Amino acid sequence: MTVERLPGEHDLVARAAAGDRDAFTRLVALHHVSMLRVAMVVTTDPDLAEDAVQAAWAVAWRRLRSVRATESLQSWLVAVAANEARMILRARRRRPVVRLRQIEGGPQGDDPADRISQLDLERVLDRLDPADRMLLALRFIADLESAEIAKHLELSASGVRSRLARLLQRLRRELDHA
Amino acid sequence: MREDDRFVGQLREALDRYAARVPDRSDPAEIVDRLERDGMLRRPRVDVGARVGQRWARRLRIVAVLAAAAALIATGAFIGSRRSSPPTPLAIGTEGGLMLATGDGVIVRTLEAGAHRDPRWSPDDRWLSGIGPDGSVVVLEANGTTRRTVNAAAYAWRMDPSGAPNLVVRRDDGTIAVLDPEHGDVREIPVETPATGAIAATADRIAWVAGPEIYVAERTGAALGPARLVTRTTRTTILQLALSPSGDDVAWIAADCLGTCLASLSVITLDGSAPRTLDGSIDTRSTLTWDPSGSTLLVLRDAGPPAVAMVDADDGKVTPVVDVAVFGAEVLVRPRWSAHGTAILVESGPSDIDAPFSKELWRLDADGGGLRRLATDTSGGDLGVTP
Repeated sequence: MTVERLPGEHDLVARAAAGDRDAFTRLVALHHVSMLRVAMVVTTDPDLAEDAVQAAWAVAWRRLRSVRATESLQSWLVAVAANEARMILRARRRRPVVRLRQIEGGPQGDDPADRISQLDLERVLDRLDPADRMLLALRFIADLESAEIAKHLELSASGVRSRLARLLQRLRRELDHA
Repeated sequence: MREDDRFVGQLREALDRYAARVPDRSDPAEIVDRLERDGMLRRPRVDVGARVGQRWARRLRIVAVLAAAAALIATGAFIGSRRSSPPTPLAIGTEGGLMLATGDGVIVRTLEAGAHRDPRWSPDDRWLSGIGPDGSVVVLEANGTTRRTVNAAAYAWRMDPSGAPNLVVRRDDGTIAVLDPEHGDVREIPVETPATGAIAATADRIAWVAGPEIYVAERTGAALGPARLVTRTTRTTILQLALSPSGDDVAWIAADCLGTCLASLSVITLDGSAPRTLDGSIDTRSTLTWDPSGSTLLVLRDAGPPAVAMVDADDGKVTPVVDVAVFGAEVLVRPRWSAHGTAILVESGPSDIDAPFSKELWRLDADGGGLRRLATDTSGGDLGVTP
């Protein structure tokens, strides 16, 4: 398996794991947005997503040395962010909230029939279990393969694939009805 | 389902737009500054496990155990006689076995091989119980001379009126019995409604959960009398049960789910009077113990960061004891009063994504002071302490 790392990232990780604050800040600059986007899908709340990623960086500071050289740092970081997001939800016990949002229009020339509306997606995401949102985020936002997701969720790769397949069936059904 | 399916493409695009909603207001330097202000940038205590890997840590610990044991034998201070010296204070249940350890976490003796959990000392410190690999409860004399096993889905230690320790057990089939570990006698407690949940016991009473109901059986002379219904709860599941030290009140934690919801803490006097719900922000994973005076209940609350708190048994007033930030950890589990009521014990650990779940056992005073780490277990096991 080819592990993609940004040029010089291995050195940054080593230095940050050794306590180099500047190297750690550089890693934050490189990966923060990816983690934020994953946390947003899990929490469905921008403020909670920011809190989750802040907590994830605290975990990363403590546990960077446990990331193996053969492991993708980005996949590890987004998995930590997703897990922190799930724990924040557990701690805060969010209730489903019906939010009113302006229905967005697509760019000029787009056929709305080709797109899933944000309002519909939001309603469906609100009804999902945080663990399912975590699966969606890791697969479709972070682009992790099933084997990588399996490692972080302590499932088998086939278990991840079957869960994802059931989830997609459910989403197709609910979004078709929306 | 093929992932080049049109729906998947639309979903991916929609999720992308959704995820992009969160504005990236962050400045990396400010993020790191904030971590430092919150005290999150200090490095954890370096332990052997972090340096050389857990497998080598266990090997080194075994060497340390053998050296410590040899030293103890040489000085004649090794645990050997009944009641002539206090038991080794820590009991550890891990994948490796049920073990005794010193107060510093140095393993002195393995009592039982194989995976064990939930180690508990008897009130007189003579016996140690744990749940063995096959789910049965193993009861061992601390000096290793006597061993009993009993089928039990839940159990509680008590001292009977004669001052002898008993184990009150709920079996899988809902029956309740009392085991005398010294003689091996098992005495059945007649119950009309099969017990389904937690069990609690004092010298004069045994209480148990049967679905949404709580029953009690009280001592009549030398025997325990028939069961009677104390209360029926409105929540779906009773998670924890605890009799007050005087035996006059029973407290319980109940919830409508086992995971992501809040549990409630309630108390009732055993004659059925003064029912009261004290707190509705209890973590469903909380344990439940009364303080030695019977005035407050120690719980894990879920109203923000995980926090240990005492809840007044009369008016529900919450007195915080300590929260998770103090430990530099993400998770707190099993806060409880020690068996003799001299200290509060709690275990801290990292977030769930880390495996195995490495825990640290702490003791602290009722006011949250006197914090001291007792042991670290990197195998993901349970830790039991006496006194």
